[in-house]
Amino acid sequence: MSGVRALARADGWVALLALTVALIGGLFIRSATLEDPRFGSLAAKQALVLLIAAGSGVGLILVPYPRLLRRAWWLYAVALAALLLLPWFGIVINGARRWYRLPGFYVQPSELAKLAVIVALAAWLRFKSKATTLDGLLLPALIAGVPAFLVLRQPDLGSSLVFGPILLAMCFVAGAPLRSLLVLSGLAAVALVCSYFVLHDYQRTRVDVWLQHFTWTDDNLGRADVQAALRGYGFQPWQALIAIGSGGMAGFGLEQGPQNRYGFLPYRFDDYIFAVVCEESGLLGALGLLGLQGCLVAGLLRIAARTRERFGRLLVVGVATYLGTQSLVHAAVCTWLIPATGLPMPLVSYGGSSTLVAVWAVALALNVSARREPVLASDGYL
Amino acid sequence: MRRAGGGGFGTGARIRWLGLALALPGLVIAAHLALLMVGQHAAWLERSYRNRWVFKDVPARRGALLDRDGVLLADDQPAFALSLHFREFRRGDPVGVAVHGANLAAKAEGLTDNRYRLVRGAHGPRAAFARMMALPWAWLQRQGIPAELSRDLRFYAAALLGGLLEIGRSRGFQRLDAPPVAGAAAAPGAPLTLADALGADDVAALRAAFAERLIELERLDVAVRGAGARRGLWQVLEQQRQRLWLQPEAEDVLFTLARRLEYDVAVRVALQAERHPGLTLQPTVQRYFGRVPGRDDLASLQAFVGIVRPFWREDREAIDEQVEAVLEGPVLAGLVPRNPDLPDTFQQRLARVARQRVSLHYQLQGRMGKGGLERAFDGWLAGDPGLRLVEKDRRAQERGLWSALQVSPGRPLRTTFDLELQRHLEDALDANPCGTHMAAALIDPRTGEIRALGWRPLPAPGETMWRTPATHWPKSGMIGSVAKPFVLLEQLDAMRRGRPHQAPIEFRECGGKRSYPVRGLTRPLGCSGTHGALATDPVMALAKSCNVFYYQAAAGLGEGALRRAFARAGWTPDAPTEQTSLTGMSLARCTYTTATLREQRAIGYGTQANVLHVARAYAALATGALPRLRVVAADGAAPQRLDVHPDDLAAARAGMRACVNGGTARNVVGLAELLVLAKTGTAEISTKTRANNAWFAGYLTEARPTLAFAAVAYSVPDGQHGAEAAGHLIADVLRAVQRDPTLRERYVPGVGGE
Repeated sequence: MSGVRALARADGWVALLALTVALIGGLFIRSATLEDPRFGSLAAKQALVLLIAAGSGVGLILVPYPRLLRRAWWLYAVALAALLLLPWFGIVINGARRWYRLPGFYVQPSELAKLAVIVALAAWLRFKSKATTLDGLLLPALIAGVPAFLVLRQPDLGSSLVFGPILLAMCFVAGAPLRSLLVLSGLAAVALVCSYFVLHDYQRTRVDVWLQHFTWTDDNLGRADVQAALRGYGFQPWQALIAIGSGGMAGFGLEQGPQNRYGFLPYRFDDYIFAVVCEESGLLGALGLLGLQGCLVAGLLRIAARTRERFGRLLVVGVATYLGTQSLVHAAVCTWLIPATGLPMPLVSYGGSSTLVAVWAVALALNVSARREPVLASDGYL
Repeated sequence: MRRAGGGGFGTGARIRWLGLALALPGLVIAAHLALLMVGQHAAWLERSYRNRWVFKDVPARRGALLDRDGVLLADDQPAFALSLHFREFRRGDPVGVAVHGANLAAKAEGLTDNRYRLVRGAHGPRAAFARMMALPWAWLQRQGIPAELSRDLRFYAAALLGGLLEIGRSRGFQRLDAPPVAGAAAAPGAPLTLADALGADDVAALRAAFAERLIELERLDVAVRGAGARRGLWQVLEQQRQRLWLQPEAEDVLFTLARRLEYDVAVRVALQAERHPGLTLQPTVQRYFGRVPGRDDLASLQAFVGIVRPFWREDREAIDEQVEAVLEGPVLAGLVPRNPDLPDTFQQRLARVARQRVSLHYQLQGRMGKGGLERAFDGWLAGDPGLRLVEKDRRAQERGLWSALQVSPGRPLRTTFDLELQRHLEDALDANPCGTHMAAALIDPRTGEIRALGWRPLPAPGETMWRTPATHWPKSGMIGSVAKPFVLLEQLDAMRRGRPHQAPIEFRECGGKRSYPVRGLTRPLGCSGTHGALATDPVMALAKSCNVFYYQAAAGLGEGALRRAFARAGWTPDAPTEQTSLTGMSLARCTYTTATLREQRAIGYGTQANVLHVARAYAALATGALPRLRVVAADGAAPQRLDVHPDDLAAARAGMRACVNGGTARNVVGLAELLVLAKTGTAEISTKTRANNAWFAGYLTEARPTLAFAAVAYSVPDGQHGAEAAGHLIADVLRAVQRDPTLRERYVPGVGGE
């Protein structure tokens, strides 16, 4: 299939949805950075990243995705190496060592690792026989677990949490028995609970404050311990709640949200951009964006459902889970349904690595949609 | 096509289940959003407003005090207050960072974490810096100590490097993450330290920079003390550090170090703000007297003007009154915007916050007059603060204005004082020290306006005298012979109107000391001189201050007439002519006691008054009407006529003229030349100490009275009389008036210069 035909056959709705979400993201990044001279250039940078991502994404669609299969483990190895070398070559920002500094920009290998894990899992799980036993799930668990652990060590709790759902979803679609998945989920849940005791102090405090906040009312907001929490680790999520709640049905209007404009909302262009969306476009806008994200994920799952070839299908399932989970976690963090942790909303939040990987992921899915029935000699079919 | 999977699902079904699994949390989030944004919208909107709406007070400039010509006596000038935010200081200033980092290091070693202090000495900042440089490098690489401690130590080490090398804390962290300098080696048997890892050059630079920071803080300490602060910078820093254990939250409260920082120091602090984390300048105003603080050539006027001081905690009631006055009903309603989206409770809360803001304004910045004119005219001078409801951003910068209550600056107050005349009076008081206390007053005899008022001794700087020798009297305020003109007036009036009296022609002659026997007294009364037949001449008896004349006058006039004589001067309590206050200021009430023998009362014993009372009475002799004393031109009632015949008044004036020309004041140089009419008085206030009150009172000029005066030296030794003690003081003032062309033209027109 020629490249042009592939482009023509790619799922136009998914492409349109992804583009719409990215444009909305660009609008709100602009809104979130408009008032602060320190961040004035971020919207332009994001636009540039989107352009580059879109260009490279088109390139990705042109190359038949089965070729990726042959390079899946190389990609995984590169991603793993990038994570492993961070302690030596990475730089520390806000106490976390998550980035490599390259001339003119930073690279966050954990974002690349998400895509690499999806590709690697898809490559491994494309043989159905490998997914049907509990033992067969051990290697996939390792494939996702090792990078997740390395990301957790950076520390980046939010990103590390995304690997689990991707693993479970891909194994589930690959045909893993429910019992095995329940065991795996149970183990993951136990690990999650136990991790509380090995978390960094600040992470533990975030969890404690999150638990406390359910007891806060107007009557006890003035209490010294609550005020201390609101000035400390509770500040960001509380300000995000104020932004969201004050948005009402229709919001304050683009670039008009006081929490955003007046800088009360920290990390508003990346980790809390959904709060800006809520404040400025209200419940209607927030549900609209979530709806668009949901449609995007649904579109991706539809591609997966229509793809007979297992590698491609699992790839798309992984992409859908990655985009869906990360968006949900981001929204849940903004609404403080889960403890605060920094995780960008794919295609919406500012972030070069995050945006590039999200666009590439969608491009891979489009690639699969363009080649729903490829010929993969000797590979396991359904 | 449905195919059997491991769990009994086909792949399509599994994908649908996956979609459902992703949709479910999405629905939970959507429901939570609906709850927040619709169900609880009002509450969150209110919190959003509370985040950014803030009332900001605008201090009112206090009205200036002016003299009669509009020359400034006291006014507000911009100043700067210096405040400390201790948290920022200990986390940002290299000195604070070193001390706290060193204490953490001590804690890591198992020692007390209160070893290093923000004071000079063995465990002061220098020792703390040395301790930081000796930090084991491994600790800063998260090895050998608990992770939490290592993290905190890294923070302080990075802040120290970043602050001293002026590279910022994040680059300080980078420096810690970089490998040690080439050739870095630990001392034998010791671990590699921070200093070893940084290298000798960097350590030398750090040490020099730290020493520089210490010097800067030392200078600030001096400046803070120089600004009149009760505690110096170091003292406050250490105190705040100690409070961390008891009240950790207190470090977030701004502590005012100095309310009035010198301008050059303030500029230095402002220009080097990044070098002084935690120290903030706040614009404020300061009350200055005569433009220059502490000037002493107008010292008693300064004390009379009073001082302006901050509100105290005890002034709570006064503050509440002020708040209610500033934010009366409609004003407050206008300040609080109506928003239909917000509950009424929010409006009520906003109103409460507005009140709290104004109350806080008075507590923190409010000033009130303490003593003197500043207190008496506080309501006029103070003005009302303004209040603005503004939107602020997270950095507390104003982004919008919702409503405003315009500030009402205090109104200027033009007093009756003549600054130049006052200066001459102050000079004369300094040049003629006499007795235990001295006081003098010069007033306009036509209006009662006080032109100059002075006394000695003065209050300590910053202190207020509630009872000054000019408005009260220190021990005894007996007026002595300055009372005689009024007894004479009553004698002449009684003769003219046919009231009971004894005619002077029938008076016995003056035989000097103990020459006038009085029934009931074992020892006869007498006179300081032997005036002979002058005791029968009203004019000369006044000029020579012959007591014998007045004994006989009092005997003939009777009790009522004598009281009327003193009431005419405003010296008897409860008389219509009495003046007990001076526009809200304390003024001693004259006393008149009938327990004293009537004859002695006729010569001023039994009556106590201050210089203002006496000057006022002599103003009445000058103009024929008793004025009301005043310090503000527009204030006061019309003078009250003396109700005596002009010829009688002329006789009293003749006596006073003769007193200056050849009587008891004849030795006071220059009075006659200035056409002064005056009377001396010497009241023996204690037979035990033989101390006298020496008085001198009068007016000038006879034809056109422009100044009435009274001066007194309290408790002068026996032998000193009014003319010498108080007369020379007044003469000095009047000669200075004569020398000053402006004052000469104003007060003694037609009289040549000296």
